[in-house]
Amino acid sequence: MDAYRTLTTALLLAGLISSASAASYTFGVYNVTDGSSFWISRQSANMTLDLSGSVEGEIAPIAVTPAGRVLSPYYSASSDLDANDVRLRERTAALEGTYSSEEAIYLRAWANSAVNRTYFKPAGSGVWTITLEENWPVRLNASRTVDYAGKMINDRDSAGNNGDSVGASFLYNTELSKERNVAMRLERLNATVIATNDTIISADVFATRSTVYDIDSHSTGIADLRYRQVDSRNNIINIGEERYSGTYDITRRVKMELVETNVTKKTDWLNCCIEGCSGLDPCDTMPWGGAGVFGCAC
Amino acid sequence: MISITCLLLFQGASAINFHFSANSGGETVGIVESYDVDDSIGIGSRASASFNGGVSIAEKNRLWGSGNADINQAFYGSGGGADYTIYRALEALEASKIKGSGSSALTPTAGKVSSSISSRDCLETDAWIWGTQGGDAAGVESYAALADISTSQAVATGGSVAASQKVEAQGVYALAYGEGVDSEGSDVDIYARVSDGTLDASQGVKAGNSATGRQSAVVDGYYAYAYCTANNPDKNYYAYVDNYIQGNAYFEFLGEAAVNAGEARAHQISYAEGDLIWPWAESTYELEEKLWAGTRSFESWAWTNANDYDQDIVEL
Repeated sequence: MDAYRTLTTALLLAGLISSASAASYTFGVYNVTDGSSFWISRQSANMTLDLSGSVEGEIAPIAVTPAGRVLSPYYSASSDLDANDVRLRERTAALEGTYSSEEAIYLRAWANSAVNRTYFKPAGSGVWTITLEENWPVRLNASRTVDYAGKMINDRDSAGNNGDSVGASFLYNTELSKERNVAMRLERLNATVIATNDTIISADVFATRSTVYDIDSHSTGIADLRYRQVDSRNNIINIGEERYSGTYDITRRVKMELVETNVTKKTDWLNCCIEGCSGLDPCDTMPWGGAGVFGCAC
Repeated sequence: MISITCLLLFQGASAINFHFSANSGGETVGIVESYDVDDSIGIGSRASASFNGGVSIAEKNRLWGSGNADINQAFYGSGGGADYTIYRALEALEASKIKGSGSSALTPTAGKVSSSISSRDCLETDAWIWGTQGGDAAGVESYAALADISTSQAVATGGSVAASQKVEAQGVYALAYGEGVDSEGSDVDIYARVSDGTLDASQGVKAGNSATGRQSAVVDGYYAYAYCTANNPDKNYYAYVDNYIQGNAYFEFLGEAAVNAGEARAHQISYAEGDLIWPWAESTYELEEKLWAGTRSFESWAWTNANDYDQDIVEL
C-alpha cells in the first residue's frame, strides 16, 4: 500500500451554465457647470446555472514519479458568481488532513424586460427629475457544507447583493465544520436623480432585493463574521464585524431587505423642498392619499 | 466613443446632459442629449430600451413654455454593420410661446427620428435634423427670425439617408433648407426663403448611391427666393435653377434636383408675381437668366453630364 495516499474525490457535477444571452445598458446624467455626474451601467443575461457536487477525501502527499518525487498535499477551490451585481465568492485552501464538502448552486437571471428612462422638468421650474427603471431579476441560492480536520484550512465566503454583503472567514482552522445557506433575490432597480442645469442635487438607486445568509459552524482557529447593508445612496446603514479566536460553535442568520415603495410625496414637485422641507406645513409632507387629493383637509 | 464625442460637442456654459445606451450581442443603440433651457420651458421625455429580438430604443419627448432653449441630441446605432448617427437640434431665442414633440425609433442598423416645433413671436428659431450612414448624409433645417414658425422634420437611415420637412412661417425672415450628400461627395441643395411675408414649404432630400432633392414652396412677401441645385465636384457636373422675386413677391415653386456619377440635373416650374422676377438656370459652363415684372408662369431646366450641358427657361 502506497504510504502516500492521494485525495479521493467523488464529484457530482449536475449541470452548468445552460444558456446566456448578455444585455447591458448605461445611463448617465452630467452637468456642465460644476461637472457633477451620475452614471450607472448594468449587465445581465438570460442565464441559468445549476451545480451540485460533493467531495470526500484525504489531503495527503502523493508520489508522482518512480524516483519518488512527492507533491505537497493541499486542496484549493474558488468560485465567483456575478449576475447583475448579485455575487457569491468562495475561497478555500487546506493543508494535509481529511476534507469533505457538499455544494449546490442554483442561479437564474433574466434580462428580457425593457429598461425605461424618463426625465421631466416642469415649465416654471429649474429642477429635473430623471428616473430609470430596470426589471432584470436574479435568483441565487447556494448551500455548502465543509468538514475538515488537519493541519490548517482557510475558508472564506462572501455573498453580495447590490451593495449589501454578508460573509464569513475561517482562518488558520485545524478543525472546521460548517453548513452555510445563502438565498439572494433581486427584483428590480429604480433610480431617481434630481438635478438642475448646474448640478446634481440627489441620486437614489433602489435595487429591490433581499439577502438571507445562514451559517452553523464549529471551528478551531479564527472565525470572522461580517455583514453590511447600504441605503439607496450607497451609505452604509447597518454594519457588523466579529472575530472569534479559539474553539467556537456559531449559529448565525442574517436577513437583509431593501424594498422600493415609490411613494410620491406632495412636496416632490416643490422647488423649495429640494434642499429640505423643514419649514413646510406638516400636512404638505404627508404622502398623497385619496382624501388629501380630493378632500379639503389633510 | 460616439456618445463621448457628442457630449463634448454639445457642452455649453450651463447645460444638463443625458446619456442612455443599450447593448446586446455586440450591437448598440443610444441617445446623447444636452439641454440648456430656461426655467420657463418644460421638458418631458420617455425612452425604453428593449432586448427581445435584438436591442432597440423607442423614445418620445416634448417641450412647452416660453423663452430660450438650446437643445442638441444625437441618436446612434452601431455594431450591426451599418453604423449611423442622427443629430437633432433646436435653438429658440425669446419665444413668447414654444411647443414641440419628437420621437425616435432606433435599431443597430436603422434609425428614425422626427420632431415638430411650433414657435411664436420668436427672436430666432432654428431647428435642424441631420443623419449620416456609411458616408451618405442628409438633413433639413428650418429657420425664422422675428417670426412665427411651425415645422415638422424627420430623418430615416437604413440603406440610404432620407430627410424631410414641412415648414410654415410668417414674419420678417424665414427659410427652409435641405441638403443631401452621397458617399462620393455629390450633393443636392434645396432652399426657399421669404422676407416680410409667409413661407409654406415641403422639402425632401435623400442620399444613397446618388443624391436627390425636391421641394414645393409657396412664398408670399416682399422678397422671395427658392432654388434647387445639384453638384458633382469630382466631375465638375453642376445644375442650378431658381426663382428670385423682389417687391410684392409671390410664387408657387415646384422643383427637384438629382446628381450621381453620370450627371447633375435640376428642374423647376413656377407661377410668379412681383415687381422684379429674375430666374436663373445654370449648368457647368452656361447661365441663362430672365428679367420680368408682373405675372409669369415658367419652367426651367439645367443639366451637365459627360457629353452635354445646357439650361433653358421657358415661359409657359
